[in-house]
Amino acid sequence: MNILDHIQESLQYLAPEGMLVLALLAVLFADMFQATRKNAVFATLTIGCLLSVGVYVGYELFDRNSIPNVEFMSNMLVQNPVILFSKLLLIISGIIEIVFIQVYHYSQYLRERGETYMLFLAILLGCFFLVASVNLFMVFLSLELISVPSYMLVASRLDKKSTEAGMKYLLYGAFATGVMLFGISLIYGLTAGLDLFSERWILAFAAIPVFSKWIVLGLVLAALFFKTSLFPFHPWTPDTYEGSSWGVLNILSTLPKIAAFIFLMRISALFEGMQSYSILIAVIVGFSLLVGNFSALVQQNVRRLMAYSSIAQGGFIGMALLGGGDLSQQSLIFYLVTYLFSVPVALFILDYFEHISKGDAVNNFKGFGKKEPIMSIIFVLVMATLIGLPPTAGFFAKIFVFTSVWQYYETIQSPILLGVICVAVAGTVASVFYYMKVPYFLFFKEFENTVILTSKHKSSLVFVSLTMLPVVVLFFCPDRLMDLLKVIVAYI
Amino acid sequence: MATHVLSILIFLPLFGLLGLLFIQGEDQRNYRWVSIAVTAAQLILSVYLFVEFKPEYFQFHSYDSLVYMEKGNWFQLSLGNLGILSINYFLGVDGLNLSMILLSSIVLFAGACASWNISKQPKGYHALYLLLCVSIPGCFLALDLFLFFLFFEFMLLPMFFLIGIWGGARREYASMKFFLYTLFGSILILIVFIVLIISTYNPAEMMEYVPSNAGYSILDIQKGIHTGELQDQSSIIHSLDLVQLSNPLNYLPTGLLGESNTTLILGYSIRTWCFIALLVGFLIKLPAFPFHTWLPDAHVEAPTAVSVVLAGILLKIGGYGLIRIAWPLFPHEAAEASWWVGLIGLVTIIYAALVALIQTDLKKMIAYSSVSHMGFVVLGLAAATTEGITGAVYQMFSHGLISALLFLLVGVLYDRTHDRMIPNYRGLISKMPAYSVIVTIAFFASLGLPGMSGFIAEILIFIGAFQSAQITGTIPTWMPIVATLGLLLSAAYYLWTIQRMFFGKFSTHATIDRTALTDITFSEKVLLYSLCGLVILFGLFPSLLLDKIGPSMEAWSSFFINMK
Repeated sequence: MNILDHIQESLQYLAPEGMLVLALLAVLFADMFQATRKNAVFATLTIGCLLSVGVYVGYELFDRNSIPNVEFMSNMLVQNPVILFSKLLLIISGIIEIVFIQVYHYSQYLRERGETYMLFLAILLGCFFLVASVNLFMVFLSLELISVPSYMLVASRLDKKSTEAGMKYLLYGAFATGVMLFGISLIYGLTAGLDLFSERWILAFAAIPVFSKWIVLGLVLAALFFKTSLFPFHPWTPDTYEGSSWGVLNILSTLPKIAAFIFLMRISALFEGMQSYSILIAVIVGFSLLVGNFSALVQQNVRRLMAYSSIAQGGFIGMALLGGGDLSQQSLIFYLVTYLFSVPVALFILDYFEHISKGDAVNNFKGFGKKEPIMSIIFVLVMATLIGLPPTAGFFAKIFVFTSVWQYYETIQSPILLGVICVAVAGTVASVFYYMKVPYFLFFKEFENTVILTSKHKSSLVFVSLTMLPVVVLFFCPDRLMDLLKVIVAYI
Repeated sequence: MATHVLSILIFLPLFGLLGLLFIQGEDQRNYRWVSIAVTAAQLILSVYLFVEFKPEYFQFHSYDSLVYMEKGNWFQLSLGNLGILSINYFLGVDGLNLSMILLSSIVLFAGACASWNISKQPKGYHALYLLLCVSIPGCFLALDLFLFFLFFEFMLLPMFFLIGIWGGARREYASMKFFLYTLFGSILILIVFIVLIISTYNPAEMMEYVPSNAGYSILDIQKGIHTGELQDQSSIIHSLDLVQLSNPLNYLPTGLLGESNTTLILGYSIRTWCFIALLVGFLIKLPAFPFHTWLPDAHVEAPTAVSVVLAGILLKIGGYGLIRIAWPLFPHEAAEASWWVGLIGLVTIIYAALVALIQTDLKKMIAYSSVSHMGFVVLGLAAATTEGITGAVYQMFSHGLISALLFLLVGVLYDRTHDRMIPNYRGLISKMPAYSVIVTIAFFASLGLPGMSGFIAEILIFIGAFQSAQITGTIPTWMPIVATLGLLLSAAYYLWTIQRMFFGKFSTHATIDRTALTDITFSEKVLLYSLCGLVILFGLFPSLLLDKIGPSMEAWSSFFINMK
């Protein structure tokens, strides 16, 4: 077939990405010709685009006639229900983020600049490519497409702290990317190919010695561990969280994480049953759980606390990568669904409290529970989700993840897996203490802040309660989502 | 209505919560009526249940013997090779939880009345109190362990906030301690529930939901599992239905708790460890020595109404859990551990009574006497004879009423002077005659004077404990003999307190405002007299309760004797 015909044929699968690019250009033009910045053009354009992409992807996903599994663009990308579903998750998460920036009064500088939306759309585009990649070259390109706009977003407040955070993020990111490139070159040398998901490559990879497998896999996955802030690529998280604004953090801690985890899940499915891979992941996940949970215990600053919590959450999600079976994949996506709804709410409420108390130490939040009761109650609910307590879907997310690891442990009986389970249980117990630290100050300490609370943010309350709603609803019907996921992951 | 009466009883307070949302303002008078109305409605419903209950009992933990049973599938999750996890919405009443439901609605109503004067953030207080009114009856009525655990956890959170926000000076310390102890216990319980899920199966649901089993009977499926014919792991349905868990045939033979599993951890089987975990989890809640130290702190700091609920009902969840879950699911292990359980009960009785003797804070003294009296429940349970177990349930019921009364009485004094130190008062009878009379009645009820409900309970426990050496062979005769010392000690600390506080010439410590020491008001009288009336009613006519719970407890002990 002529190469041009092939590209033309492939373009039909790239409609969502094309729409994102169009929206990006539209925002760019709108930004150039805007006299005043106080308008909602950017946000309207972005949300409109996201909604239409969402409708399109949803239609493709539930359309019985669509081809379930097809590779296109010279075997660089793939289209199947799992990927469509994860794109849907990314879009939902994206919409929540844009609304986050709109609703909150203090993220003015983010809201009124066109750049924010352009960078955001670029990150989303990168995520779309990452989840669909089947070639390591494509993985590298899409990771860069995610990383570069992220560096700029982190530094976008243009003050000393945010520049410092952006710089740190850039340095760590560049390092991780370099490591990954090195790994890719080794893989090319060992297997003479980068087409990860082809049978030829799998056979070639299976033939190399275990020790080399560990090294190249560890190197290649470095950039993905960096994005998901897993051990040992986690140290950027607290510093970046401390320096950047909550709106940016929200983008960083959901979109790239979801995309990277979906890609890791596909890799796990590829390597299902290969012990050298699952032991590598088990060690990394175990250490992430240790570092995240136990460092979070001693934090006095909510930003650093949330940073370590995100490392720990990464560890919990990573547990679902170990097994590689259907149940693992279902539980990973289930966890991601609860995660993408609960994290924005947590960050939003902390942002809100931080601005009225003029400080980000836990001490500053004394007694807010009495002044802002509904906000505080929803905050308790979010923390319960992150701990994994009923009545939130976080409870089932944790149960599924633990079950999947236990199931895998029963088949291979590896003591390392048992160790991961023990660390995760201990981590869950520890997480009660640090997640409940803020609610403790909200409700149990007397209000002593001199700031007078004047403004009532009705829209903020509506935003947090609507975003929290799916998590509570999912608690009462987890079987619906699990049944749907069961059908979907069969195509992986 | 009659088919859903239990659901209505549990979820009625949620409508009260909705009602609270529409009331605005800081005036507590509007909020308190909501709590009182809701708990009164619950009380009426549970009295209706109590009167309508006909004890036609044949077998413990069987579907036929449950009244007003509600059972529906909540969700089913397919977990790959681990089979299908099935959770039911399963409620039902038998003699055991009938008494607890009646007790909890009486005490919750009394607590709502005692919350009359809460003026600090009344909306939040009453909202949390109503949440407690959902979870307590839910916990007693749930017969699916998943549901039970949900309600069990939901009791913890409102209690934590009620003590932590509306409590006394050291409220943060006390609520944290309460939270950590109970959380530790519930984690132990959760671990056992998870082990139960993965090592049992539910033949009734496998017959109903798995298409390949169509045409088989329950017995066929049980046989198939035990002979290894039903090999397909992914079509085994696991559930936490208490009725199915009570049947030893429903344990997978090769599962963690199965008969052919001989794994030993530190020399004990997994079943034994599970029993120990359940025992410790519920003993913390009960509380028994050496897990009792959270209770005096929590009681001293909690506001009166919360103390009433805590002592009146929450402690009973521990005893209820042991009787409902630990003993029936692990009868063999329970029989082997009975000697130690009896010893824990005995030590709790004597030790807590000795500690009560040296207290100078009236509320702390009553808190320790609570611990001591809950020790009798453990002793009756360890005996496991019909009389012993009936006595244990009767003791939980009567102690619920008496301790509610005692904590209300402490609240009356504390409301007036904000001081509850025993040495700071003398000769109160001349200033507050009606109050002193009720205190004396309550003290005598608690120390087991014949004619009061405590006497019936303790006499039953002693009969059961003395018989157990012959009938069940679980505890030796010297244990009840030593336990009688507890009665003597409780008489000592109660009479000594009466003598110090109420007799003699009237005098108070210099810091106490004497003009505040007025006798009890009319509304207080109504509440206190009616509780006294109940204590005497169930003391003079024990058959009122025994007729309802007796057959169930007989079935319980014959089940236990057969299984051990």
